[in-house]
Amino acid sequence: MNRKKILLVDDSATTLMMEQMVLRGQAYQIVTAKNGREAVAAAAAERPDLILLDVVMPEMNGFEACRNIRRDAVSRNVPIIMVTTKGEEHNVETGFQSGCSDYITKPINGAELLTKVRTWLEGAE
Amino acid sequence: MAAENGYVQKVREDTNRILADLKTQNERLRSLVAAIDSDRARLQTEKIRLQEQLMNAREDLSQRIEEHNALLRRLTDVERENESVSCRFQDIETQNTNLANLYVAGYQLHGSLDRHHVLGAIREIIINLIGSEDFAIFERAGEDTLELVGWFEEPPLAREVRFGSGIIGQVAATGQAFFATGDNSRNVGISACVPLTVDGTVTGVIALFRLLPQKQNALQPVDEELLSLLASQAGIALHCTRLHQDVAARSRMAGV
Repeated sequence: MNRKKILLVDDSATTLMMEQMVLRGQAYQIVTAKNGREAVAAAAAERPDLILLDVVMPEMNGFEACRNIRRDAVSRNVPIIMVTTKGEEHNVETGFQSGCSDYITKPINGAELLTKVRTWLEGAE
Repeated sequence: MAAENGYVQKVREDTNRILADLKTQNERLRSLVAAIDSDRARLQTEKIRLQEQLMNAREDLSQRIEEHNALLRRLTDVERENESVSCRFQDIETQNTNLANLYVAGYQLHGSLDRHHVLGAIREIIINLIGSEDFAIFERAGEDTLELVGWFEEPPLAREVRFGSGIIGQVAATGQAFFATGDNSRNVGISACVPLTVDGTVTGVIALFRLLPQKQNALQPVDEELLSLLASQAGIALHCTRLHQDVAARSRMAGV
């Protein structure tokens, strides 16, 4: 069976570790990036099936990274879930305007994260 | 006389004809009554048969209603069981998340002896696992004074806090955590304040001034537990970095 690949993008080691712990038991292939620039490169090189993208990051923030990923024909249709501490409505709107497919807020709720990941990966099949 | 005889004869003939008609009529009526009697008997039999059928149908119906009710009861039981399994599953998922939070927090806090790294780990844990972007970390600087060593967003006005002064000072003095409830956090300006302890001695305090909007102004009991555990682990981790710094400084002085 082809394992789904998920790209986790966050400058926080704590969040990356938390996301990996939640997704570890689900037979996904995990790749990580620590900022927006790395995320854009990894999205093109790794061709993930789904991207979990933090918003506030050094070098390139999540909104800009999301726009760049959407511009690339290779990663144009990959579901992108924004993971953010900024749960206010205007930030969510900016996320959707940047091209994200969905969002979850920190602190991460494991069950919510798994549900959204499964929903988007199944929807893409 | 002859006319009289003729009349009598006619009357007799008429009477005979009427009698014959009556006989015929009588016969017809008899056969009609016989037919009706036969019909009645048939109908009676049919009625008994139908009554039996009705009784059987009623019994069948009541049996089916009973079966239907039993199935409904079973369905309710299964639904309740399903709901309970679903609740248990959610509880397990929540417990998994909490355990993962604890594991990640412990791993990050004790993954280094570098003070800067440990303070960074505490910041990340508070932001990403507890849910606050406006907080401060104080460490004990003297017998009864706390000193600001870390913060996020805006540094608090007070860089030093005396034991017993305000909520932060009281938490340091008593070693008892403070958790605001609902609007109370707006009034006191602090959502939560927990002591950092090593071997029961207060070595510092973590104060959360404001929670992320999605936390709706109040920490859940599980967040309070995680924050308290984080504080105890953070206290030890910071203490270890100090010891490490002391040992390193002494080694340098001793020329090791």
